[in-house]
Amino acid sequence: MAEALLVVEGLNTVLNTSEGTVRAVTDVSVEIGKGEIVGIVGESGCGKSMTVMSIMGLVPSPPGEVTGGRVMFDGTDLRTLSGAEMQKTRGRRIGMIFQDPMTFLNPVLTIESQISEMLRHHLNLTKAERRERVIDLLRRVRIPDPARVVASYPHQLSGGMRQRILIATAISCDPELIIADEPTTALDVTVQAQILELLKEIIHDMGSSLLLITHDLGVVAETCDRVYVMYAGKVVEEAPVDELFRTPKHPYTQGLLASILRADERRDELYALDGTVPNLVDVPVGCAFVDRCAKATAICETAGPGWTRNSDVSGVACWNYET
Amino acid sequence: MTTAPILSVESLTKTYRSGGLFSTTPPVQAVAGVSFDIAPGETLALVGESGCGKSTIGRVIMNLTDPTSGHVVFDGSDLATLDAKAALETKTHLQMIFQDPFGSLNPRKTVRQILSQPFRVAGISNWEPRVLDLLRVVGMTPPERFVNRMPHEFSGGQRQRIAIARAFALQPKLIVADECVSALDVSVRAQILKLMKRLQQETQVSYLFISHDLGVVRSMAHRVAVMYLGRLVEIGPVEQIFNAPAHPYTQALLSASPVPDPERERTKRRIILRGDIPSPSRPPSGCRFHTRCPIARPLCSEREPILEARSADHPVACHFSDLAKADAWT
Ligand SMILES: Nc1ncnc2c1ncn2[C@@H]1O[C@H](COP(=O)(O)OP(=O)(O)OP(=O)(O)O)[C@@H](O)[C@H]1O
Ligand SMILES: Nc1ncnc2c1ncn2[C@@H]1O[C@H](COP(=O)(O)OP(=O)(O)OP(=O)(O)O)[C@@H](O)[C@H]1O
Ligand code: SF4
Ligand SMILES: [Mg+2]
Ligand SMILES: [Mg+2]
Repeated sequence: MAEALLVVEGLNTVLNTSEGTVRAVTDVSVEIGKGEIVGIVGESGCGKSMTVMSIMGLVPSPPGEVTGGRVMFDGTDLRTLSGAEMQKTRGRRIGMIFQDPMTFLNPVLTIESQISEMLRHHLNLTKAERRERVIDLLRRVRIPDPARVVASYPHQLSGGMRQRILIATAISCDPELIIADEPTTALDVTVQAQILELLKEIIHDMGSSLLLITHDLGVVAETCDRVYVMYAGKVVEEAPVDELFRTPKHPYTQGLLASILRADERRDELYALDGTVPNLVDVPVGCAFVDRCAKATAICETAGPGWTRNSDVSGVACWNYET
Repeated sequence: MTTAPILSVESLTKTYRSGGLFSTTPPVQAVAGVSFDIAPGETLALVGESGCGKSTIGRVIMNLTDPTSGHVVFDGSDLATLDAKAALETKTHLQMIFQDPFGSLNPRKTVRQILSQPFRVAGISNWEPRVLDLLRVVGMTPPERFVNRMPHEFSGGQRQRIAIARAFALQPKLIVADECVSALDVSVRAQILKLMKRLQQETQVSYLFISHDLGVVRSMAHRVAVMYLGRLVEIGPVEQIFNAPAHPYTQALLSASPVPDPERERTKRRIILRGDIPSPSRPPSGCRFHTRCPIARPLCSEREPILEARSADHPVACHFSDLAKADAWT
């Protein structure tokens, strides 16, 4: 792996709700090297967004609380930073892209003021320099006619254009790391292809790293160098992308891959994992996947499987994983 | 086709006029002259990107909205011309499953009430055993555990099973399934699709399967109809559409659909389309795809291509489909 940029160790986050304590993130360890594109993939509610929020210090509190772990970014534990210091890091050194640009973009501000605001906050530039930079950023995310678009409001743009604006904002201060949470989920597939292509190119050009959150294994295959698979709040498998798709080790990863229908092959017999994900309020004591697992043995019911590291860049949490 | 189609959609057009009499917003031509047939026991997938008119076609077929022009012939009769009694009878054989089962199931009714409703409407009195049977059929066993509960007590996948159970209550001949698994997670999605396939094998029901997920379509459909901005651009047998797509839009759509295989993703030829989908209230002149088409020529903006048979069962609407590389995405 490349030299580490972000090292998350033993992250734990809970949400205190009226139904009980939701264990949204449990012992999550994730590492991102310089220049790498790393994916976190998993089904709805498995804790992907909460992991990101915990890394960024954005867990809503209450009901949320990060109860343990370290978030080492370029040698500093982000969890020890003050609110003001963290705010400086966000945007300046770590850029963020969300699924729904409208929650991030201010509807009453022009595109120029939105991006300028970010620049004003973090960089020491004159007004003219800022304006020039905004136009340059829009050009970099391939917005046609940037001089016109800077004056428009978010609702006047299409979903794909808004996502480009978000990318422009995220890269505005040349961050070392970009975290994108389902950046293309709301987009049509031809527009998704444009945006993923753009993201890859920009990350490559800036020499930055990307942490990409998605539920779509196709997007992972197209974009990422390495992947973490999450299930019920935990990382259950980690591997370089080729290895994960060629020789998945965890029964959940195997089941997930076997149930995806692909546009490049027709299947007459469909495969499906039985059952559903467990409720994160009372996570089973043993392996959280035990109810749905074809490989489960007695121990899986009573004890959670530890992490087996298979190499520098791959590991699995399962008592009976495929060797 | 040797057997009579269960459904024929003929030159269907639907224009939405927004606002009042003096509204300045132009009307939206959501569906523009679309025709297709579905055979008994067949699944026809309707694919295309957001706003291309898929749901509108489904809604017209279900009689939820009137067509601006054109006809829908179901099981031999034009629904618009049937008298009320005959229409009611016909409609029991025509059912719909929606993307969001939460929206389509009455939140204040129990599963027993929801599933017995079709029987009660049809005047069938001894429905309790049939309700329990339906639950078994969709894999919710033992059914006694589920009948007294309300929709909010179920997961998304279970709610979709209940919606499917209701659709299958009275021997449907055609089910319009509009993005019926799009809101579900991969593992639950696979369960529902497996169920739908099994039910089709057992009952010979036909599906109009509306979906934007080409992976799902390839394994579910027998034939595929591809739409762009209200127009059908290509229709044909599933393996022909996927192995030898003839329309440049179909090719781009296929090339843009990521497959869970990194090696393939690195080597496949990728067609990245320019720009966004134009507004359906101001569709481009000539071929509606010409503003984004990688092989467009001057003729394309001048004259609209008609849907012409390349081979007997695979018509395409493109002036230059001979030039479009069929192997584009492999
Ligand atoms: N504000 C909240 N209050 C209570 N529970 C929450 C809250 N936010 C998230 N959760 C719960 O925390 C768990 C993890 O949620 P998270 O949003 O991280 O999932 P996710 O993997 O991002 O899912 P998705 O793919 O749907 O975005 C879920 O079980 C969710 O229901
Ligand atoms: N009731 C309505 N009034 C006005 N315009 C409408 C109405 N319903 C749909 N439209 C418009 O008609 C066009 C086709 O919409 P439709 O819902 O059929 O598309 P779709 O292919 O199902 O899209 P999606 O994949 O997003 O569901 C869109 O431009 C839409 O905005
Ligand atoms: S630990 Fe046991 S139950 Fe869990 S995935 Fe492995 S074999 Fe299955
Ligand atoms: Mg999320
Ligand atoms: Mg629709």
